[in-house]
Amino acid sequence: MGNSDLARECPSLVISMFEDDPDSVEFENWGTWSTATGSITITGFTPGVVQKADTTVNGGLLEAPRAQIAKPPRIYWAELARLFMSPRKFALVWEPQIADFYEEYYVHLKRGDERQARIAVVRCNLLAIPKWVWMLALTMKLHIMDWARPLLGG
Amino acid sequence: MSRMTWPSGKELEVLRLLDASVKGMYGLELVEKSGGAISSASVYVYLSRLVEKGYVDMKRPASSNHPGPPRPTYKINGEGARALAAAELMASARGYAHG
Repeated sequence: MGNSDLARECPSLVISMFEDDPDSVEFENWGTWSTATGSITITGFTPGVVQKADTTVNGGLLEAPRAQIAKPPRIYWAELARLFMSPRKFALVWEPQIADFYEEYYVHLKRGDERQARIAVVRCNLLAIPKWVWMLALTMKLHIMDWARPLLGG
Repeated sequence: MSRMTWPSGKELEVLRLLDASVKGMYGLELVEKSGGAISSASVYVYLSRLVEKGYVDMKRPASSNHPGPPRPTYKINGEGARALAAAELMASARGYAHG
């Protein structure tokens, strides 16, 4: 990627690079770069949006991959619930829950803690399951065990 | 307000926590402040009931600083504060009656 392309992609990065010339600069929100090693690490262009992108300076030309936009993770139960719930109920019960967990997800992502971000998504998926579904699954399991006991010789 | 029904025990607990906060709270913030009394799986159900009963106002920001929906803030309103005061009065009267 050439400098003009980079300027189009990330204008603030180019401005910061060519205005200052320190050995290493830490940007306030989104990353670090070093002229000594020639590496730039972007860890969040706007809060939680860019997952991570490494850039290297080769012979004065900056080679940068396109910024990876961290898409919000899918909450599978929410998609199913949207089919069965009224829009009002969905907006009152599910959307705040999803929004809270997205916030948590992006906070972890911004810190660079992908493991915790993944845990937040798994927690959201599990907590989104209503209690009666868990009870139904447990009752089904008990019934199946009861039914299978004679077959297993118990 | 769709219907005016008395808040349940857990809903009163949520109202009590919201009453202590000046600028309102998020769902997960409520779970943290409750110290385990309210689980993160059920807090949104209680909050949605309180919103429907008209005791709590839900404020949703126009945009968020990340992809996905912005998270709403919950704040106790006048009806909620009155219901909470009445519930606490009743509880103290009950305690007084039982010695």
